[in-house]
Amino acid sequence: MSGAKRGPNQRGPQVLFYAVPARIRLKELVCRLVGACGLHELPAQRRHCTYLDTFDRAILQTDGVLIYLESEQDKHLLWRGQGRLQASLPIESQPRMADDLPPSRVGRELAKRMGIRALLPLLQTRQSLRRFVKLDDEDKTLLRLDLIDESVDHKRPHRYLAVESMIGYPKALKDLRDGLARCGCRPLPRDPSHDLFTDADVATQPAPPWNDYQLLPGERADVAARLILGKLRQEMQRNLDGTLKDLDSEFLHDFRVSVRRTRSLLGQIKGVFPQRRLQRFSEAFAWLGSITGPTRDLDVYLLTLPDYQARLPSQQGEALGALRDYLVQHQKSEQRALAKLLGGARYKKLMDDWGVFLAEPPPLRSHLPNAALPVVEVAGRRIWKLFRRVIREGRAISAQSPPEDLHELRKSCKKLRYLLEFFKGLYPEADIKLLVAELKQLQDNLGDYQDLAVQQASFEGFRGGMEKEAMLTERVDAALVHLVELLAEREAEVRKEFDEHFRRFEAKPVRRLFASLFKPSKADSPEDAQQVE
Amino acid sequence: MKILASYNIKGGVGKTATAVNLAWLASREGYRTVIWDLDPQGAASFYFRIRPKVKGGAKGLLTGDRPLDEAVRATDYMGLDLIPADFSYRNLDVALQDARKPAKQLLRLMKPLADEYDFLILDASPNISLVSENIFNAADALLLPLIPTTLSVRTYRQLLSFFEKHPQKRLLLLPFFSMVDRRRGMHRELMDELPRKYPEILSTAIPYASQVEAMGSRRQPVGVFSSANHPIVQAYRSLWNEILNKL
Ligand SMILES: Nc1ncnc2c1ncn2[C@@H]1O[C@H](COP(=O)(O)OP(=O)(O)OP(=O)(O)O)[C@@H](O)[C@H]1O
Ligand SMILES: [Mg+2]
Repeated sequence: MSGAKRGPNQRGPQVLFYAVPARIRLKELVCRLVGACGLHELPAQRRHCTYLDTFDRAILQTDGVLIYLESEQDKHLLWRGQGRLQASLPIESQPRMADDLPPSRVGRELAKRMGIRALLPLLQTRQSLRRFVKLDDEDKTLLRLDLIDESVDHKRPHRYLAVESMIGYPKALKDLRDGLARCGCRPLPRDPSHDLFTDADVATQPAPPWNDYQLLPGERADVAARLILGKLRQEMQRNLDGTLKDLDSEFLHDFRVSVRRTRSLLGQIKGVFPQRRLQRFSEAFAWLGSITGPTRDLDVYLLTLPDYQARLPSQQGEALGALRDYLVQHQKSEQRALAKLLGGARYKKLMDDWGVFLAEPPPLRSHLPNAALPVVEVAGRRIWKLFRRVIREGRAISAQSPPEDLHELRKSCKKLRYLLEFFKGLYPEADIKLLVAELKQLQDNLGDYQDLAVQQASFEGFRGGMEKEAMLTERVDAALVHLVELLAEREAEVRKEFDEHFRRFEAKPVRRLFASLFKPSKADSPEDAQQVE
Repeated sequence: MKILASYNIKGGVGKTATAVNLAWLASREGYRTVIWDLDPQGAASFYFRIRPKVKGGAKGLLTGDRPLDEAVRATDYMGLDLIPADFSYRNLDVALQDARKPAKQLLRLMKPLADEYDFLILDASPNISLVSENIFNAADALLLPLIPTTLSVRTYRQLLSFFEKHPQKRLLLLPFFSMVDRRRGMHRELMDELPRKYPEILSTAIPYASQVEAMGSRRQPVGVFSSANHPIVQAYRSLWNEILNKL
């Protein structure tokens, strides 16, 4: 037993699956299990199974299978993984969020995998189960064997055997394995739920990262841009259903990020598409950005409220519970309004038209300056420009600079970051990784600084809002005032840390790498190099 | 991993019933739990139908020939394991005396289990000995069933004065009333009086219930054969919640 093996249970019951050979009659198999292997049959059961996982398949990704089981007797949450039964817990109802899980270690381990994502039903099946046990002479269970017929939608059931070993009784397991082999039962190579998933067309893998596309450096810029924008459109549509139903807050978040990326790309690559055709779409995406904002803001405050509560003395932290009620109410009504818009005709028409535009073949001849240029040239020039802007704006910031200057820099950084992500496939992977990491540490500082300012304003706003709705007691008010003070203190600290982060970003190796990858070779403006070197 | 010991100097007060039923409840909530039946009589092992036999006995464990981990047996309940009693435990005191740091031996043996379990629950035999000293050194909390009788209170005082002489820094004492019969005047009076004197007494009291006696013939924790809202099941659940809150 090694001390390093924390996490999933390494010693829980082993679970082995076997196929039932077609040539043996069921009656005969049972007869031999009971006779030769000395098993006892318990009363049969019927169960309804709901297989659960997050949208990004956090459980399946770690070789786990999570099932909510309902039978006439009880409700259970079953977790298998790494060839073992990790947990089988009585539970009141189908869990959705991490908070619905028990606070014990298995609950925490599942919660860690889920993060803030909801458990969604992947597949519903029915099982009819005959259970056999091996008992010793004191009627202690030494091993269990289930003969399971499991079906989706009354289709032909999958039949398999599930053996559950028990720690400390290896001989019973060995005897049964030998017995099963003699009956011609072969071990199944994987958890049988995967066959059910395959049959029902349930995806067991998370979607690949959205920017997992291939770009050729010589590709026309307008062709490449259509490809990227098309991927972003797909990403919005992929997250639409979850956003409409508010399955968890990540759907809306990912939806919004795709909108923001789309807007950023449209705004940055000039001379690729006819401006008059883009106009309408740019306005529509701005509209999408603004209608999704209020719900997202409330989601964020709901997600981070426990952190704020933890920062306050415990009494004040508890008082903020009232803020949760306020936020929940408002989130619900904003979400309803949002779902109405995103489920409505305007959104649908936008996406349809956008899809048509993106599917258009590129014009053979174009008067636009950049449309037919190789994408690597257009991308490189733009990235180089943004990088120089970041350096210029950053260097101009002193201890006395107003917050607006940092916020401008934050926006430039974000644009640069998006460009690096759009076009990462054109450059060596390790280089882009490194540059993104360097940029990210700067963005984190700038983002925190901005967020802290916004948060103070928001909490002031909540105070006003709660007062209007007669939800603001003295205790809540005191907690909010204190919280705003703490946020202001933190804001000042984060501001002080800016220099260090910027200096790291503008270090020579980073500048060199940017220049070597993106600086236009025919140095259209020779002073560029001096400016950043 | 938290180590809880069901302990009392006095015999027959409900130590084993407590260890068995709380361990079962813990496992039902998803806490990986193991009971170590330290009583050579093997009552806890009996309730789980597990043979009270450990290969190599106490000696084998203490010399390291047989790691404790090898003695673990699954009970019939998911997430609940048991380390059986062994008749050799009756000489555990003597065996411990031969070791270096004799009062820390059991803790040493249990340490490797820390990664595997959330709770290790010790079911101790009644007395105060080198084994109990080992338990005090290893446990995070002592679960102390107290029958509300003058004799029981006397042994509780004995234990307190032992701890005055041998202070235990991190050991939490969690006494609670056990086998309570409210029809009896003495029980009622003492339950009224004692918590004022000993505020550490938990507020949950375990009533005297024939269901607990039935564990002997059923050889199962009460929760397995009683309905979830039976008062005794609820009493153990409330005791468990109170203990969780104190830890
Ligand atoms: N709450 C209760 N109601 C009724 N009977 C109980 C209760 N608790 C324990 N008993 C019974 O009292 C007897 C002693 O209980 P138990 O074995 O749990 O005590 P113990 O302190 O472990 O004893 P020992 O000191 O012998 O180890 C057993 O027969 C048990 O069934
Ligand atoms: Mg006992």
